[in-house]
Formats: sequence, C-alpha cells, structure tokens
Amino acid sequence: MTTPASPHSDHDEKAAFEAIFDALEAPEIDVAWKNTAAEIDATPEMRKEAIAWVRNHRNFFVQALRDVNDPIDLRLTLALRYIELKSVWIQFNTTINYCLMNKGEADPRSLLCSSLISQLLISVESLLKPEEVEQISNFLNTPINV
Amino acid sequence: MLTGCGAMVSAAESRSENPWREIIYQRFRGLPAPLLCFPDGIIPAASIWTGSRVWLDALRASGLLPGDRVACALPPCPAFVQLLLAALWEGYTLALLPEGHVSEETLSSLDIRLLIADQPDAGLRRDHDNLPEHSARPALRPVKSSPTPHIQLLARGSGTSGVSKWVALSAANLLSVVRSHSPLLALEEARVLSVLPWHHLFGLVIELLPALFAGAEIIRAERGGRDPRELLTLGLEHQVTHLNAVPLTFLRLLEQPEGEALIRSLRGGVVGGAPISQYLATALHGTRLRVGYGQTEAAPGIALGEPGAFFEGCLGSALGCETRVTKEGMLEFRGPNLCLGLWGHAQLVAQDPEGWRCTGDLVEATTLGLRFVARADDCFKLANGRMVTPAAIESALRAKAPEHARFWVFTADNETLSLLYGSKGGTYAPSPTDLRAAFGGLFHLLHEVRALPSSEFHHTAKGELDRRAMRLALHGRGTLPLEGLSAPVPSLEKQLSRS
Repeated sequence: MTTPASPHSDHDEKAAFEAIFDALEAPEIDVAWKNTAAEIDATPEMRKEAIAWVRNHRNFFVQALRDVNDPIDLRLTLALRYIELKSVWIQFNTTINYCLMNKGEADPRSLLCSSLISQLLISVESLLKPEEVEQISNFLNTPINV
Repeated sequence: MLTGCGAMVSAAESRSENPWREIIYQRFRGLPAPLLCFPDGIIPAASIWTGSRVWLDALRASGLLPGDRVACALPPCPAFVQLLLAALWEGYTLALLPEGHVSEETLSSLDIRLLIADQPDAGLRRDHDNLPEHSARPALRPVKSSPTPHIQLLARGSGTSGVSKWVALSAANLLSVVRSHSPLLALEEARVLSVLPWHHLFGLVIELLPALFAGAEIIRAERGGRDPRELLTLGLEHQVTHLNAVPLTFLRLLEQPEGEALIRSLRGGVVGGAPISQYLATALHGTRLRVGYGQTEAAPGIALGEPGAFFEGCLGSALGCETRVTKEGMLEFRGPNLCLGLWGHAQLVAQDPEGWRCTGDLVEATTLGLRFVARADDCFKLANGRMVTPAAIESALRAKAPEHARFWVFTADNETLSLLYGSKGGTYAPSPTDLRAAFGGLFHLLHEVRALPSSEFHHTAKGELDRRAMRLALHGRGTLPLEGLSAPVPSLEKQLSRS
C-alpha cells in the first residue's frame, strides 16, 4: 500500500472518502440494490433479507472507516475491509459455480448476496488505487498448496 | 487447507511438482477471463476452473491415477477444455482423438484406461455442458502397460504414409512451445476466432493454450474453418483480433467480399499446417499474421515468421529449438520441443532426447527464413535413378499460371513423367516454355501432358494436393475424366524449336 505524500493530500483524501461515504449512504444505492434483487428469481422475503444483509455490510464498512482519523491507518482499514468484502464475494462465487456445475441451479439467497455485494465492491473499489486493487487481487488469488 | 472435497487442493497435490498447477490456478480460479464463447453460451474462467475440478473429482473417484492413459474424443466444447485442464493438473496421459473416430483397435493400440467421448453411454450429462454424471463411475479398461506419468499427451502424427503414428509428448515439450511462441503472438486483450481442431497440436498448443493462459476471449466457430460466412459474421460480431488457420481457410475468406478486410484488421494469428502458395503469400503480405511451421513430433512448434512477411513456401525461422538443413535439403530439429518418442502397441519407442529429428520436409534456407520445397515422402525415384521432386515442379508451374491453376506431376511407369493440369473454365494450358523451365533437366522424360477438370483434383483438408487420392482415382478406379490430348515430347520439342 502507498502512503499519503503530504498534509494537503491527506486532506484531499479524507474529502474524497467523505464523498464516497455520502454516495454509499445515499437513497439511490438502496434503489439500485432493490433493482438488482428484483432481477433474481427469489421470494420477496429473500430479497428483503439480502438487502438488509448488504446494508449491514455497507454500514459497518462506513463506520469502521469513519472511526479512524489517521490517513495511513484509514487506508489500511480500507484495504482490510475491501479484502473482507471481496473474500465474501469470492466465497459466494465459488459456491454458486459448484452448485451450477453439479446441480444446474444455485441457491437464490447466494445469488442475491453475491450480486448485491459485487455492487458494493465496485463502489468501494473506487477508493483504492488500481495498483492497490491489483495487489490485493493477486494476494487473494495466490495459490495455496498448489 | 481443507481436504476431503473435490474442489479443494489436497495435501497430496501440494507435494507435487506439476508445472501446470500454478499456471492453471492463477489463470482461472475466480477470474472472469479467459472467456470461452460458444454458440450456446459464454463460459468465464471461474466456471472453466470449477468444471475442471468437477471433472477431476469424477476421474479420481473412478480410480484413475496419475499417468493413466485417458482418451478424449470430445468436440471443441467447454468440457474439452475442462477435461484438458483436469488432465494437466493431475498428470493423466491424455490421448487426443478426433470426435467420432474412435475404434477399439485405436484404444487397444494406445492402451487406453478410460475413454471420454460425446456418446450416449459415456456417463456425460446431456443437458449440461457434457460434465460427468454424479453417479456415473465409468468402468476402467484393462491395460497391458503400466502408467506413463512422464507422457502428458499422445497426439496423432500428421504423417503422409497413411499409417497412424502416435507421438508421445511430455509436459516440458508442451510448455517449451507455449513459452517460446506466446510472447510473439500478441495476445494481450485478444479476441481469438477459433477454427482449428483442438485435438491437433496446431489448435491445442499454438492456439488454445496460449490464448487461455493470456486470458483471451476465445470465440469458437461452430463449423470450424469450413464456412467463411460464419467466420465473417463472428468476426464482425466479436470484433475478433486473432485467427489461426490453415492456408485453405484464408483462401476461402479471400473469396468473400469482406474477407480481405477481416484478415487485414487482425492483430495477430498464425497461418500453418500446409504450404503457402504464391497467391496467398501476396494476399497476406503486410498483414500482422505470421507463418508458422511445425510437426506433432515438435509439440508442434519449430518455426515462426515475422508479421506480414510471406513468400511462396515460407516457413519462418527456428523458434524454441535448433534447426539444420542436411546436404540433401532435409530439415532437422532438436531442442526442448522434441517429443519423447512414438507410442504404439502399448509401448514407447523412445527418441534420443539430444538427437536431431528429421522432419521429412525438404527445405531451402533463405535470408528471409526457411522455404518449403517438398515432402520427402512425395518425392520418387525413376528407374534410371533420377530423383523427382514433384511439388517443386508444380510450384514452378503455378508461378507462371493463373491463380487457381492446378498441377499434378507423377510417373505411371517409373520411367517417364506425366503432368495433369486444370484451371477454372478449362481455358489454360501450360506453354512449352513454362514446361521446359519447370521440369528443367527432367523435361526430356515428360511423356504426357493432359488437362483434367479442376474439380477432379483431390485435396486434403488442409488444402494440399492429395497425391494418394489422385493416384487411387487414376489407377485404382480409373475415374479421372482426362480431357485433351496427350502432348508427347516430340510435339513439344517441335513447338519449342520454333519458339
């Protein structure tokens, strides 16, 4: 991860974070999630649960970053939370792929959660630099005991 | 790491030094690209990965061990790629058979433990990308010889003798060619229009593996290279950047109004598998395509040309191996691409790993690279001891003839030479001057020159003159409808003397 170069850039960075937090907490994102959920073959109850689930993830993400003042620790927290969200998405994706291959269908709850969290990931990714995203992706894709 | 699940990497795997595993894991697991585009669906890398793990689980459950010989007779489809990756991962010896050409004789000769083919009783799910059935535990065939973990692939050689030979290749052979060729194929963000059969090494090692490992989008043409309209449609729809094919496919494309524009728009691709004619060389000059040359015994890469550098018979320059031309003009190679040997009757006839391997191709070394002259198998000796290289004579005649003229030089009696020629519309005939120039010192042996409807010239799937079929038609069945009169040497000499 890179560190901020100057107090001026620290200030700019915090401002950028605030703008993203505002976007993540805006009512529009709830509408986008509802639209995404509506496209998946699931019951209304499942959709409601999934949206509540992703909303919790969003809230925890924003709060965790708001609680950290120092820019260096802020970027570390951002990276850790991104890794956590991405790990959740990877696990859903893996499960869905095996269900599709083995049974020809996947659990609607998994499909809902995977789709919603991938939308959240896209928003969060904009806070990271491309090289940081690549570094994390490489780390998450490093073979284990291959 | 957790164990006991087919999707997980087991402890046993961690002890392996299999070179493919890290490549496959990093290239496919959880990633969107490479992408396989088939007429009935698009398969991202993550699904290719999962499918390969489902295959691996099924193959392990059937009792297969590394080095067991598995025959794959699947068509180009997602299951082909998934099975291929599973076999590379586990170290099965994979024998690639053309779909629908599986015989008990072949399976027995290869000493196959398990056949995987797209047929009703094969234990494949008919409704789901040909993945293995959950409950199916295919019965393994009894085998005569022990497992062959050092052999990664058994591929049918493209010999012209008519007798099938199976070439045994190691993982190191395949990787050496993928590694030597990939950097020159310009596959970054490529969209590859795939027409080659994947059970041939040109399609597998020069096209499929490099494209997969580069994360390319691979668009499979349902009818292979046979339908140029399909290629044009797919080319436009997917904005393809690469096409690897035999010369005949490019000739068919050039016959289409938009064919040349598609070819010139390509960012890369390899033309190989058959000699480049003068006409095709001119048409491809200045494109970003490269000529490629190789043989199954070389896994299959031996030479590659520079982008857009084409001339009649060009083969490119040696890549990933050493080449030399003997004083008889025969091309030989050696290097890490050199096969382990030939496989037949359940045993390996090993090739000296340090030795030179004869390609059976007569070539010339030019300043622009190697130039193909003829297959040595196609050459013949007359009763007087004179060696005849018919392809060289035919090539010389073609250079002076209209675009689609065809020629066949042969001997009917082992003492004299005959020439059959044909052209579109049947209006062309070679002049005595051109005949004398092409036959050179053999001209006095030219006994007959006859016209043949151009439709009666037989060609192989790669577009080369099929000399065996021509000879069968002439002698075996006697069905060649010869036209025109024979032109005995005296009449030619008279004409020449007047000119």
